[in-house]
Amino acid sequence: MSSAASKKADRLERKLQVQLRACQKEPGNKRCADCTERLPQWIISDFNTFVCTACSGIHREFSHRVKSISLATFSEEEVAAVKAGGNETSNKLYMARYRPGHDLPEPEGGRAAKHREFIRTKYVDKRWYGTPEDLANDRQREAEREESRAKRDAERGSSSSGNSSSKRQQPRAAPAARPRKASGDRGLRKVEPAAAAVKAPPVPAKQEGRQETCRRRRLPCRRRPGGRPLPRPQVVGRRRDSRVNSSSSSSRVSHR
Amino acid sequence: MGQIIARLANILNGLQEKRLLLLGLDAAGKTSLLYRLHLNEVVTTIPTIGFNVERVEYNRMMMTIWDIGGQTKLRPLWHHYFINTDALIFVVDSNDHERIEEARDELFHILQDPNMDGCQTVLILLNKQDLPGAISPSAMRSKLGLDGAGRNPLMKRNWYMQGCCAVTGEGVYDGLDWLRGALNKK
Repeated sequence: MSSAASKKADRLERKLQVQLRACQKEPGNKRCADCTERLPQWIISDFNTFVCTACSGIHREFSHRVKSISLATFSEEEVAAVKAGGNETSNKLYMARYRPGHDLPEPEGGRAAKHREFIRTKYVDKRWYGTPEDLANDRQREAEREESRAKRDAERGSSSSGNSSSKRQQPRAAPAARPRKASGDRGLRKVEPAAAAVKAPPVPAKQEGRQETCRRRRLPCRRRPGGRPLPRPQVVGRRRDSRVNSSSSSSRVSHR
Repeated sequence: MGQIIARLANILNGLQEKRLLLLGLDAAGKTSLLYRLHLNEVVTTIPTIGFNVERVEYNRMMMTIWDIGGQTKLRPLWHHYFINTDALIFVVDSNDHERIEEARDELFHILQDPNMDGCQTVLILLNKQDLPGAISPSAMRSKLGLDGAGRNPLMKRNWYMQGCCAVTGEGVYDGLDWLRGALNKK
């Protein structure tokens, strides 16, 4: 009886495994959902995505449930969810407002810090998250803004309206966008370079700092061309002895 | 030969050689814990396939710690590592509310294995206590079924439960201190 039950369970597991493998071969799932790695072997149950080993390790840091395709057992519901989901479906939500080239670039594998930042921004901060309704609202708002801008331009009735409107676009869009969350930080980001340009004073301060370090670097000019520092003049004999005994790095530290 | 001499030197120095097993469900924090003990720092881990093994000296005790992957299909392989184990460290994810029963079943399954009869010391580390949703050690005690006697195979052994956090290192050495004391008594 029990053996029959276990056989049945085995058969079911094999069936689910085949389904998962088929799902893994779908074009959207051939690449890691969070980086450019190919042939991902891990499933994040929270988002039903396929990710590579490096990204799976980082997802675990955020307490997302990670399962290996080959080393974990899946229930029927889980497999159904993965079949319904997948990388494309998940990214449609979590990358809805992502603008390639403008936002954080997708990590290319290797450097864990980059992956962590990207995954945190994408899933924890949900910076680019957007349902289809959100996107529709965005588009509507954009259209409204465009309309009001056109109206204002018309009211001013300046002679070369076409040219001036394109020039004025940026400064006017920023205050209008402020109350809205998604476009709000876009406005902020645009302000940033200008603010940096205004902050002129720090530049000479930095130069001072550089001079200081230069002076400091010039100080141990009792260095031989080879780079090893000469012993201090007062305690020549003893110093040299001690330097032979102790590591050369410690003597270098004392000079600085 | 060199290894034999090194071991002999350890014995003469009063260093005890102990073999520890680090087990638990996947993503419990076994590898993070191992490298917290070995390097005393946080490492970025990836899911373990196979095992990691490190020798760690702590308080005149030389521990060889075996950290074995905890994915579902790797668990049937755990028993290959059971023989000659001095102590078991079982790591539980305190933040994983759904899989506490699974963790308990695995723990009892390990302890019922005849090859683990020689292992009379069990340290249960309740990891990830720093997370806001973590279950407290006192609540964990009943959830892991360690309250009543009954068929509990732990009750015949010397065991201890300790909340900890592998990332900050909190509680890890408290558990190890207990382990050292328990192994010395034996």
